[in-house]
Amino acid sequence: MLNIQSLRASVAGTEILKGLDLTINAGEVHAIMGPNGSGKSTLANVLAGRDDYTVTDGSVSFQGNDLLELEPEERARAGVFLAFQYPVEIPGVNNTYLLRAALNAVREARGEAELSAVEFMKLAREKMQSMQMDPGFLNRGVNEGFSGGEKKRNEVFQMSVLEPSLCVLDETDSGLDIDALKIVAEGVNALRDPSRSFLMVTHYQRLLDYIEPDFVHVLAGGKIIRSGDKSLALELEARGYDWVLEEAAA
Amino acid sequence: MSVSQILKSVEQRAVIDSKSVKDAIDALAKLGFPARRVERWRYTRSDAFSEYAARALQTERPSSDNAEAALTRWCKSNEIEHYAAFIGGEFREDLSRVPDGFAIQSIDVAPSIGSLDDPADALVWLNTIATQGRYQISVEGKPEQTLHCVHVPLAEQSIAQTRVHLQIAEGADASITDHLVDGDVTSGMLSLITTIDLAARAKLSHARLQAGGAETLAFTRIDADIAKGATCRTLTLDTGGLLVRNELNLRLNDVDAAAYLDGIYLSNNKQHIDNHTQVDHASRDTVSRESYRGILRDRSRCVFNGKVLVYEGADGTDSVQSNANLLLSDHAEIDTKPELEIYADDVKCAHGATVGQLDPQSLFYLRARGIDEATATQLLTYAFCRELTAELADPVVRRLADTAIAAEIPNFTALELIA
Repeated sequence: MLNIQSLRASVAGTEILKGLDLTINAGEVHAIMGPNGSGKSTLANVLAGRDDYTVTDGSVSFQGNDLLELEPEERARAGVFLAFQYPVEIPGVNNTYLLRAALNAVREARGEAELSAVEFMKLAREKMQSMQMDPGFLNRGVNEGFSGGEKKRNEVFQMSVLEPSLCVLDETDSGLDIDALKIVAEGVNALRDPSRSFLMVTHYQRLLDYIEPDFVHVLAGGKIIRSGDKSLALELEARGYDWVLEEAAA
Repeated sequence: MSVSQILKSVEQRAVIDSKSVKDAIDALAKLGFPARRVERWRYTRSDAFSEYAARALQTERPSSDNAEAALTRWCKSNEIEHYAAFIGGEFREDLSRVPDGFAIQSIDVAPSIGSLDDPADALVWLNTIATQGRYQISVEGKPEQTLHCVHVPLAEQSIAQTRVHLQIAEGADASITDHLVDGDVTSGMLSLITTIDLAARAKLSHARLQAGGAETLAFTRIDADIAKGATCRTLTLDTGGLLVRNELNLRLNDVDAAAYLDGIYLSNNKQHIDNHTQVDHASRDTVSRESYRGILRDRSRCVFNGKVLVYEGADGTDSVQSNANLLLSDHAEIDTKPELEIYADDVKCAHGATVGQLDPQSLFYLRARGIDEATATQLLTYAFCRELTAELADPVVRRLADTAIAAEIPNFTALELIA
């Protein structure tokens, strides 16, 4: 699904990722943890194609294609979805119409027919219900006036409608209370599928109680310094990051 | 030179029937059109108007046949069933279908409202001297429909000048929209002066949608007196014209009077659009909200000058003003100037002006959802204006405003993305 090799990336001249390797196979859920400033969000944004970040070395292949060659919209259509850490409010652009355009762009790329307005609304209502979102949100501007938690739910709602192959979640759990976290986790779990992969960037082990990862990686100083299964997350929760950093340095 | 030509042609054809006309002639003869050194005309050439008027006033007034046909076509294609027709500046009752609740009549002398005669203005004198008609529109009660005043030019190179007084009775609630349409001609000059007397607790939603031909000159001015508990909402949208000057002066005369001023200007090629606004907080406990937004392309130039004047004793004034601009070309220019003059102690006044490009975060968000860059750019440009048109209460006016905006965005194909 995704193969990252020796990836180096910088923002405003400062190198953040310093030779990162990661392979994600179809159906796997990977969690990336690490201290503040370790490069977690940079990784998520580089995969989505944000142009504030410059890739200076290395390669990223997605389903056999060079991901770094693609524009952000081409990546989205190819099946990469970034759930934003800070979803943007765009007053004046309607939430529903944006999602329908996004879905039809993805469907066109997959060689599927466009959904009619009626079919789309049926699908959107169904998915909204499972995310326990107020249907009134469909008529609002994109994220306009949404609370922090509502914005995160909207991201996972969009993801469930678009059904991407690779879901990249950038601190989707931050700013959520426990009830909202459960709803978001259920939304993600409902999408788990042998043909779909997840890369979850998170600061807290808490999220992994609800979305069980196959692999947990520690990102520090721009590299993955340790990988393990979900027990690694529990150990990090209990002992902090210092021991991993020390072992990696030794 | 052009002033003497104007006065000569006025002498030949106009009836100098009132003191106000005589005063205006005297003032224009004595003071002429303002020079660049006059601060209010620092960025906009007033002599362009005087030269155009001098030429146009010398020619025979053309027949109205083409304009009448253009009016019919415009109303039909925009699905406007009730309207007041102003052809070459003249109200034509025979061509109009005025909705219930509005009474339109000709008047000899237009009242002076607000600060219309102070500061004096050559374009106001010109309108007074050589107007095509002075009208009063009276509203009592709450008419259900919007009155669409459709202003159609007679022919190429023609001039149309109109003076309209809106008398909105106590407790009335009305919606009036001026459409300055091109009438299928590219040139001409329009001068439209509107005075508004908004009685206690009355409400007025006024919109002015200017979509004149590419070579036209437009001067519009609105002066309003807003009484106790009354609310005046205005939206000024400019998409057409070559040289446009809008003056908007709203005076809040008594407690709980409120003014909401929105403006949108979309300029391209060598268009020049100038908005001068002034809000007078003449009483305590009054509210004003002003938001003007512009999108400038090519070599166009726009001016925003927004003055908020808080009178002595006008405590409890609550005023917010903003002007935001998107410069989409290196050669476009915006001159924006907020002015605050405050002579009271207990007031809340905020103002701000921004000039910039589209928000890169929003652009990336849309692209990360599969929307291509060109479409995302168009969408954000449109959304920037649409935040203001969303405030329009009448869906018909809103649709017309949104359509005019979309038409100014090159290759805009994403209309289905708009609610």
